[in-house]
Amino acid sequence: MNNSAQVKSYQEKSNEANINTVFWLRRIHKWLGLLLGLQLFLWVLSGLMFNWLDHKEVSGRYLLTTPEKSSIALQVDPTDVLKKYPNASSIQRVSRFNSEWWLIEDNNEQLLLDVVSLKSKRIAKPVIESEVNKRYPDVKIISTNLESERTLENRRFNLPVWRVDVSDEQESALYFDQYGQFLDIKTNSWRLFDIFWMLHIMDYSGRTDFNNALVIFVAAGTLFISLSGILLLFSVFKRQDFVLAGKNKRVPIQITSRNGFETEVFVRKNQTLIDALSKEGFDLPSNCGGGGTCGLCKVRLPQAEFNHQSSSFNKHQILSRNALKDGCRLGCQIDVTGAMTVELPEQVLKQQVKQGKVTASRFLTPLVKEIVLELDKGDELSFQAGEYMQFHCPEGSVELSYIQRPDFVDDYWRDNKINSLKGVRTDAIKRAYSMVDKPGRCRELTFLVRLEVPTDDSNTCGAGSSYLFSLVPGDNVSLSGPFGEFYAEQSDDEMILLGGGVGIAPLMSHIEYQLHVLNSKRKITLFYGVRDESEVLYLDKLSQLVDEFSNFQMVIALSNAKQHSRYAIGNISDVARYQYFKQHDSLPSCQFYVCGPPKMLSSTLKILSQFNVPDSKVRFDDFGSI
Amino acid sequence: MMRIKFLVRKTHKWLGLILSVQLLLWIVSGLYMTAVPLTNVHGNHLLKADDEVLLNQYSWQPISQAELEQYAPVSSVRLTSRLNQALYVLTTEQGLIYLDGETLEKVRPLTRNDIAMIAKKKFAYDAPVQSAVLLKQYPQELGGRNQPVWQVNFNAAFNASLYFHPVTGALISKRSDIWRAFDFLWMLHIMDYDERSDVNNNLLFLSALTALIFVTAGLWLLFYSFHRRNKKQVA
Repeated sequence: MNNSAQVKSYQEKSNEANINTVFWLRRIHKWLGLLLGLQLFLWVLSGLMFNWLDHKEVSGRYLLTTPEKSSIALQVDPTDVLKKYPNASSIQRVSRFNSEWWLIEDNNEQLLLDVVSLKSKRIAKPVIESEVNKRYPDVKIISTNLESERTLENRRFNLPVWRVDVSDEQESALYFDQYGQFLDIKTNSWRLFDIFWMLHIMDYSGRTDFNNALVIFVAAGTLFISLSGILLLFSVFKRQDFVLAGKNKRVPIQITSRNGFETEVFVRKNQTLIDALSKEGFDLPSNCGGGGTCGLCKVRLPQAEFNHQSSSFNKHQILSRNALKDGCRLGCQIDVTGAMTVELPEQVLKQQVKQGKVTASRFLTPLVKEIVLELDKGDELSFQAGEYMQFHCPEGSVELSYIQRPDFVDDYWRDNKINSLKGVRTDAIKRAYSMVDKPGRCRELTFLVRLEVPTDDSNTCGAGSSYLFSLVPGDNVSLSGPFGEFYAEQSDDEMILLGGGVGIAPLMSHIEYQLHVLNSKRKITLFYGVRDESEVLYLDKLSQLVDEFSNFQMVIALSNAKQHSRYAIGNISDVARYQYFKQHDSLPSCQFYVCGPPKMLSSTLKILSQFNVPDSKVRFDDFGSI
Repeated sequence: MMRIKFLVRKTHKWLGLILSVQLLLWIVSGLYMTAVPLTNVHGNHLLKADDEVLLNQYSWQPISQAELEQYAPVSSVRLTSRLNQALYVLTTEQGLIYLDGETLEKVRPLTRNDIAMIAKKKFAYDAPVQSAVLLKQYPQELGGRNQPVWQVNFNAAFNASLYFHPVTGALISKRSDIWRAFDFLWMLHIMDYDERSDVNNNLLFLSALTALIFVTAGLWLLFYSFHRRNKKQVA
């Protein structure tokens, strides 16, 4: 969702409930805005017009003069009137149109009576016109009509009503009742005002009733726009917005995503983008800690220029040429020198920090452990096949000799001097591990961890892997994610999976997803390479799947087999090439998913390109490079 | 393109901050003014239907030339009635003059008891008169004209007040908290905090103009706010 407020919540590391609130506020705000925004605009526009049109000009009375009152003869005897109109409640002797009249109220009706005949008398056109001349001198009368039909202009007067049009700039019309009493003047200013009035009160036919259901309904709706907008203010404003001096020292980074998410953060200059974003709550995944070698902190700079001769490009060499052309860069290799726009992966915006407890930790081989953890308080993680989490490994160190281990591990460790190794984390670090589990919403997550042992004489082993190795049931862990781009495309094309060692982890997730969740009938072929028979992980589970699903087949290859084996011998990429690819008649239309150590990965990719498999058909998860 | 988007978003955000309270007030006051029936605001429900007052009920005599000459020039003479008596109302250059319809003497203003009685008869709710006050001039809720008026207050129907003419006892106006709230919200609506009547004030102009920019920016943002969800893409 297009949601800068979410960001704020990340910054505060606040809970999901807050994120959800903001999410819903924003939804209410924009959908009601879509529905009622136009009326809101019309209200403001018409309101502005009411303000802009001069009140006096609208009323039009400034054009008129008040005629002088003429006095009446000094003899008033209402006796005869009252005889003729016994129900009168008021009798008044007035002077009008140069003669005298009785104006009486009879049954709540006003009557103008001729003083001689005592009959109600209607006023003739010439009298009305002379009244106009009295009130509006020096103006030409265009027409004088007695209107007995309702018009928008005469809507407030009793019918019939005299309308006199005069020729002035305002195209004014003067109204008189049938007794010659002046009622009102309507001008062009008033007519314009009246149109805006109609729009303002949303009574499009009568223009009078502002208690109509439509306007009440819409006003109530806009109340929600306004309230949600005000609540959103709390999330869209950051403290930085109000620090003017600080703003000068900092530079803005506009953050976008593919689905339109937008926000702006202010960061200090002269730090790497990954650090700057991290301080603002946008944690890019990284295994190498800013070394430019793991490639996880990939971002997109929409305005980046592609100039492959530039030396700065070496820093991003882990990225493919196409990705570079597209503007992809490594967050850890970019220095913030000025304002910039960065497109972040969706997951970075949606990532959550989860807390969990280790429930099981067991050795599968002397160098591989399977770690199961359960999220705290019934929390769940929803993830897709192929995604990974970042383990937060706190500062500290691990002496491997203290790690409890079964005999077969102990033997191996003693023979290979692993006992004396030490893992040191001088700083808190993060390490990425793929979920083995069937994707969906899970409380329990399973990971495979391979202990990184030194290839030289040093006595330090992998800082992250030794930490995870040291975990025992009951230990608390915190991890963030999910991240990743190792997704399977939905299709019926054959899926060819190539995994090396613990690279089987995301592939397990993919296989389970295809077979058990999608019930896919597509052909799925797994090539799984390990060093020797003892290192084959999840053999039982995989064999069972082969038995159960006719569309799933598996080839296991051992690179380091000392004796004859029921499995193929050799590097997994070579085995796949000679045993399968060569005989395959439509290899380029298959989809490939490769996960394994760097060497295995590069040789596999090379072979695939020799078979003319297009890049777009190959997905790989590069977990080995640190 | 990108830049304009951000500019519009920024405009909406900052103007929203500045205008938030006034926008809410406009909407809340507008909602009140539309949702509460105007006739109740005017207080028509506070009054009983008029009893017919017939001049024939009272005794009176014609007004002679000699009588009128004292007040000349007279532009109109009206025979009407007040509480239990006929009354002549003369429009003269000195203003209105009230004469007893029978004696043609100048009448005295009505007493507090008279006014309370008239009010009790007019008021549609069964409630006693809480207080009756003769004000030297119209209160603000009546427009502040410089004329005396009787204010009769009830402890019912949202603190209803009826206003009567001190001499004729005619009902001048009626108010209740429904009207007072309307008037207060109207003040907030048009942002004229002194007179509550000047819609052409500069503050309103500035606010409405800013609000127009704000709303336009908001509408503009709608174009960016609805996206078809992209399928996950992988580089």
